[in-house]
Amino acid sequence: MSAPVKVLLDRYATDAPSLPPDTSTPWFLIGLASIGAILAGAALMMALVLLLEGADMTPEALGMVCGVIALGGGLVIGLMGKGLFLNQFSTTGAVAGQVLLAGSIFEYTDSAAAAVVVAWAVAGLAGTVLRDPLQQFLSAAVAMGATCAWVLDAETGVGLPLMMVCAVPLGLAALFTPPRRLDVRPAAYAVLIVPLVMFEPLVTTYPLQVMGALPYAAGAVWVLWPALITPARTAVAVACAVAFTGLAPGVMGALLLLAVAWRMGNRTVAGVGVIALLAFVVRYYFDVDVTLLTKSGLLVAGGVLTLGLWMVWRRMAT
Amino acid sequence: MPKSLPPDTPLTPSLVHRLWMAGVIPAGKYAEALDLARDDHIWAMWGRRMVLALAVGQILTGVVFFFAYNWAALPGLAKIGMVLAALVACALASRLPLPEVVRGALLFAAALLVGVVWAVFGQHYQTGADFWGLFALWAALILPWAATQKSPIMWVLWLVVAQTGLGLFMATQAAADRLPEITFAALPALALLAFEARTERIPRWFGLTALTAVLGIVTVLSIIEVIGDADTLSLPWTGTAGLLAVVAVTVLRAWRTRRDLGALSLAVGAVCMVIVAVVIDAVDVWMLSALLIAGLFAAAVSGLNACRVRS
Repeated sequence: MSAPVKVLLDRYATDAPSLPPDTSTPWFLIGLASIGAILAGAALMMALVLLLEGADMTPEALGMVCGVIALGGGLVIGLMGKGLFLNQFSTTGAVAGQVLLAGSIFEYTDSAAAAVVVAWAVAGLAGTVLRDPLQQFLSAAVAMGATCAWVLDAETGVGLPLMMVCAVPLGLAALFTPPRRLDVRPAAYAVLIVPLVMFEPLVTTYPLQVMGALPYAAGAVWVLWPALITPARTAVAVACAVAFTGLAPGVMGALLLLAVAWRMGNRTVAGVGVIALLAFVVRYYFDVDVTLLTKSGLLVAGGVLTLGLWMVWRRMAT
Repeated sequence: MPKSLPPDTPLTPSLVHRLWMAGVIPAGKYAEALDLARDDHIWAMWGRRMVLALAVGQILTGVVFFFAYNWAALPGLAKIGMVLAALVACALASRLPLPEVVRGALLFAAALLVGVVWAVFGQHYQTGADFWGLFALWAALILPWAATQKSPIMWVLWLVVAQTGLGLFMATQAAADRLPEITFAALPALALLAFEARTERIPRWFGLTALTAVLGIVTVLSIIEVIGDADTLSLPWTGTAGLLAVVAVTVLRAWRTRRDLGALSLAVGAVCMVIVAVVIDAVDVWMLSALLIAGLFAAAVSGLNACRVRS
């Protein structure tokens, strides 16, 4: 047993049961299996649509039937199948079924609330039955996306920022105090990421954008807390959070993702955080309504400030 | 203590989660245990590099925007002089006894500013030169830096610039009609060969990026040859031959070294895509196509997984 593991076990362990198996699979195998599953699933769906074409159904009914078949097939294959490809195939079926069912219910009833309920119900069912991380993330992302769309459709204005006030603590709680019976981390990542992707482009009123960014700012400071052991560091972090929340609200969400990635030691989330950070920084400069010359000045000033931050960080490290 | 923990198991966040699920870590101590598993030194280094990259990116974009504004009040020669001054300053500063990462960032900035110099020169003098020439000249001028710096990031910049120049040349020049399409894969293939020759000195991501680029080009050519009209290409079947050669080398390497399954997966994935194109083109029954595609990928993934377990 390696020394760090021994330190950890000495600190916490009493008599413990044996470990659950390590089911992690390399990303390239998951990627290849997913591409194959999507291609095969698309061909299968095409065959199904051609088969049902003569049944004289409305598009909504056709969507519902296809959704039920895809979801049912996905769940059955997931329960029966052993193997990486079948896992990804069942994930594709379950997620496609969820999208088709929620979409057709919305088209049929014209009720976004009904579609949201169906999306969450299917996500819960498939997540409990299949227990596949990618499936859980995708299903939760679809359900979360449907919820965001519903809230936006209601045109309450304050709805989406309020939703983020609820979603961020919920996601962080699921990540840092996870239940022991079911690994809900993928769903928690979806709960954190999806509103972030949707809110800044869709919530166009500045005060509401700031309101939506506040939970991300508070969350980032909370996640970074173990690193902010001195008052000076805490003050710098809070100042940065306030500045980013006011200037470019989306950046705060990206910084929360990076903070979560660091605390969880998760490189994939770090990659998503970097992409989100770049996207929101580019979006900020793109949206600023000034001449190219002023924009150039802003960019250089931002770069110099960031360079200063890098120098301070480097000095602290040495 | 957990009996199934193998000796020398490294402490990773994934292991912490497994220990948590097994009930080893007490309630409320999950985040604390994660803090023990994390290598803060590596994360801090990575974070500092990201911040430096963000700073350099913003400053360089600011410089590009400044010249894109085409400030009429500023004489053309002054503009060119300013970029040249910035270029020389960056190049000279990269020779100072600064940390390696800073010197690398400065030289990268200088290499990008070479492109800006040509853009401003073209903007002012309206030379009417083709775009491919600008990129070719840019690539030629920064080649010595790329060769001496030995930085993969610098080589990626050089490859992007040179490949863009080559692509523009092949797309716009009549003289390029005599060049076979496979030429477009030449530079990434050279980069891949360089990686294969110096595997221990060049990072793996560079090799995987070069392999992805080569496979992307030869796969598209192969699909055109197999299901399209091969006669429309200057040199038919070179794409398929190239694909087979790259796959053969990758398989041989994976078989001999018993590692780098990422590269093998990319190669197998490329072959699968060509077969999928053939299946969709040749089989009229969608249900049969679905079954064939599912069988193909199931076999590919199972084979790769078996290789992984064995290695």
